[in-house]
Amino acid sequence: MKHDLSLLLGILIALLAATLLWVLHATLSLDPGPRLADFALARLDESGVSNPVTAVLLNYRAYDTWLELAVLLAALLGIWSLGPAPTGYQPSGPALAAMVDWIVPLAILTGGYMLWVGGHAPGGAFQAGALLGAAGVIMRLAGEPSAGLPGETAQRWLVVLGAGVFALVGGVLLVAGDGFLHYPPGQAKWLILLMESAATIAIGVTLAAAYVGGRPRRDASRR
Amino acid sequence: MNAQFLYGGAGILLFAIGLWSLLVHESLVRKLIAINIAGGGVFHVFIAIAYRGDSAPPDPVPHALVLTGIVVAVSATALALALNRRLEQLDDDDTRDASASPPDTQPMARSPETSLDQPANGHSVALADRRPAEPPAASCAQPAPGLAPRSGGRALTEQGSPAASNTGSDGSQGQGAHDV
Repeated sequence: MKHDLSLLLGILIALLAATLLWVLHATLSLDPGPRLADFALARLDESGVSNPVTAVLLNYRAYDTWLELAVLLAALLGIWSLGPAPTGYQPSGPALAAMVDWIVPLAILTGGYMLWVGGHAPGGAFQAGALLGAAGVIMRLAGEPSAGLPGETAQRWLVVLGAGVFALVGGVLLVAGDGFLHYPPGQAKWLILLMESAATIAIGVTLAAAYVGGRPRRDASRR
Repeated sequence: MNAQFLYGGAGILLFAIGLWSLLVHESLVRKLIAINIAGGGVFHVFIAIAYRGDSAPPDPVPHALVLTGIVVAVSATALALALNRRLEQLDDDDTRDASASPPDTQPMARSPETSLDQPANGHSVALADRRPAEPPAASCAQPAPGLAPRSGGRALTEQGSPAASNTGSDGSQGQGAHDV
């Protein structure tokens, strides 16, 4: 690109940034007024969890989270449709292998903790899933071509697990309860835990499989 | 209020930097990084707006939106990287076909970009598997105007690289720029 054109773009974008900064400043100095937070916090007791972010994600706007899992699934299907996975990295040396032996179980353990703690403190399915995915990335970097994932058929089941459990719970509640993903009183906690667990596994497997970067090879589960 | 403005303002600056980089640079990988930086800036602004002072808990709705946004951004980035790698494979095939004819048109090398794109070595085996099916797809991708300088740049890097021969024991370190 021409030098002066990029300079002109830079000036224009600087002006845009200055305008946005001014708008942000003006907005912050206003009185906040009513926000969704008031509604979200007012009914937190009924939501089954005490972490308001988890309540928004898994209760008030659970269908958002469901569609988000569908986005993850669609992205992975797109990656798989582009061809088989590239070959992995060369096997790691002894120092890296010893570190991976420690890091991967720790990441899985921390993921389980993150999943549970999401009910009352920052944490939840996405953080836990990200940790599981990171464990897969580390394993692939250390020379395990399948990133620790099972064979192709099992992988396909695992990646639809999250969106599938959401759809299943939602469908059952739609038929037998008050509406799609409208939890009956008192049951919310366990339904949320079930759905979050499924979402955690699906997110972790999807992220690791996306890092592998292609359809699993048939011999992927063996070295 | 001050800390809130500082955090949100930093987000706006990140957004501006990302937007500028997205518009100015030509390499797809750099555009992708730019989009992610701009997206990070937007997340900053959301988090800053959610803050309601030290006394009250922050607004959970923007927090949930940011979590959603991060996941969507990560998966979109993964898909874009995979598409980018596929395009590069097609480019490689094009240049390999073209290198049979005399190399009359070689656009200037763009060293920073090509060094970002360079390590395609790990994919050589996958490439060999698919080779016979390639020509129609390659001819489809050819007319895209943005690809022409890239394939030229790749021709330069490729001649000395083992990717052209499919013997494949070459190291795949450095491939990390491609995977997510």
